[in-house]
Amino acid sequence: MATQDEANAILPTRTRRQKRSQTATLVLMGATPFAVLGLDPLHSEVRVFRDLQACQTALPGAQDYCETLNAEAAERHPSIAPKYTSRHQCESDFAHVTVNSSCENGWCGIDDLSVCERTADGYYRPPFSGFLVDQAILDGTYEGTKPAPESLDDRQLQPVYSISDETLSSSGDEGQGSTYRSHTPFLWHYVMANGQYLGNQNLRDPVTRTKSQLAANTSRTFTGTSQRGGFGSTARQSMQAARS
Amino acid sequence: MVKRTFSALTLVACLFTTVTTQAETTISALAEDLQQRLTQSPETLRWLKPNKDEPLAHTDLGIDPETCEAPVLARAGTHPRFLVRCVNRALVNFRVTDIQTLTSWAYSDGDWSTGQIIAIRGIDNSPTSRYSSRQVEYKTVWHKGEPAGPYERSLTVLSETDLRKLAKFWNSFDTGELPVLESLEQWRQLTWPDAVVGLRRNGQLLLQHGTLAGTSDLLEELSSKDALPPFARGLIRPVKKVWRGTTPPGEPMFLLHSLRANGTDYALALSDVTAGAASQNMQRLSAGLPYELVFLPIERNL
Repeated sequence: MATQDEANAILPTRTRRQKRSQTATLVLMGATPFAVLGLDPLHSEVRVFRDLQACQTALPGAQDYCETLNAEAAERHPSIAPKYTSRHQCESDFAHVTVNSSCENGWCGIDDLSVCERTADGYYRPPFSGFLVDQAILDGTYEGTKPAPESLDDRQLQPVYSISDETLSSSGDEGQGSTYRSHTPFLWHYVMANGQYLGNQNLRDPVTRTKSQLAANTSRTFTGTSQRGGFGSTARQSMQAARS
Repeated sequence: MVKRTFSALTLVACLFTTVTTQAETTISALAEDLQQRLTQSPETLRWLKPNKDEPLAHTDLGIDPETCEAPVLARAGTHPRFLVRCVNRALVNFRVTDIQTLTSWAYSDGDWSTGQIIAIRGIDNSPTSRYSSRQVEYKTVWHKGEPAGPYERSLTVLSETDLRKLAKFWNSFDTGELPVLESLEQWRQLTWPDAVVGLRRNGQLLLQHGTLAGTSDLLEELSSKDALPPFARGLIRPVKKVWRGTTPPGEPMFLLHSLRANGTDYALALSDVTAGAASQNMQRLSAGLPYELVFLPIERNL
């Protein structure tokens, strides 16, 4: 049995714990009505479009709007895209065949490939490979709401990049051997500029990600030739997290 | 009148012989000479059946040399050798059958030695009814021993069009002109991506599993002046299919010609002697030259 002194010593701790759990409960209770109403303040649903045409096919009534969304995403590309000091390292992460196996049986043309581009300041970056748009923005277009693309933040509109399947299949990082065996340049996946995995090349459905995952950040620069801790590593980890 | 015509023909023949002697090192001149012998004086030539040692005339074998395709080079340099494919129709077991022969002709001491028939392939094209026919292939008879490598085997199944393209390629290839092998060294210095098996002059790539990192360096090098000698269509790397994992392709060689036979891609390439001898799945098509002509299957890991 605890003495009075021991009880006095324990009480403040207990009170602190109680306060912490009460706070947590209040936070959860605060979020519950949103969840019940179908509103999730922590997550967003986004749609990925490979190009302008894909957007226009999905939104036949908003052809011009797709053009402006695509143009705005392309404009954001130079400031958001990951940058590399080494072209070899950039290609190691991103180079792949863009067309769906059309040249698997023969020779591939240069236009069938996606390789890194040189920036004005001497770095290398993956090419603009499409864009993602907040699903709520797209839903709004059916009601005639079309907010100016430049007014949308990065979580609502940003360029996306295509990463090679080889990069995601590599098991060089943190000893996490992947079961992937198709190291083919004909397969690729969509990723965000911050390395967040979005889906494979056949992605059509909306994707749900936390708002923090969708934050684009500014362009990150990768130096050297080591893959460890690089863009590919981030993409690999986020792919594994998304699939688990 | 008859005598005068004969004299004129003799003169033309003498003139041609002189021209042939002067240009006998070129592949096209030798190929033309062989074709003329086959069509104009086949009785002066002799054939050996597969695995037999009795020289026979074309009449004994039922070969009509008029039906033969143009000779195709099989070995350049000292003791050049050519392959000639002929197809003759015959009645086998009361069925109309196309008999295809592939004969190897070696040229030495200014003359053609006895032709060795390497393969005899029979294809039954008899109609099964008034409106349809079925193709039945008999088992090919092969000559046991040299020469019968992948090159000869692919030539037995190559389409007529591709065979003519191959003959045309060889006729335009001048072995007398020394190829620039120094530029091959600069290509070897580059880090080739594992996925790139071949690179054409126009920038097209032949790919397999693996990374494409370094592709831009290759394309950049290709765009530089004199990146490839005029005779090269591009670059090719030997690769062998493995059932588990992938094998990185070998050292690049100059791609001269490519063909497809029986579902497999093949390449004719030029390299230096060391590189050519290193790989086992390559067939040498030259001897005594400062470079090596090789024939290799392109078995990509996909």
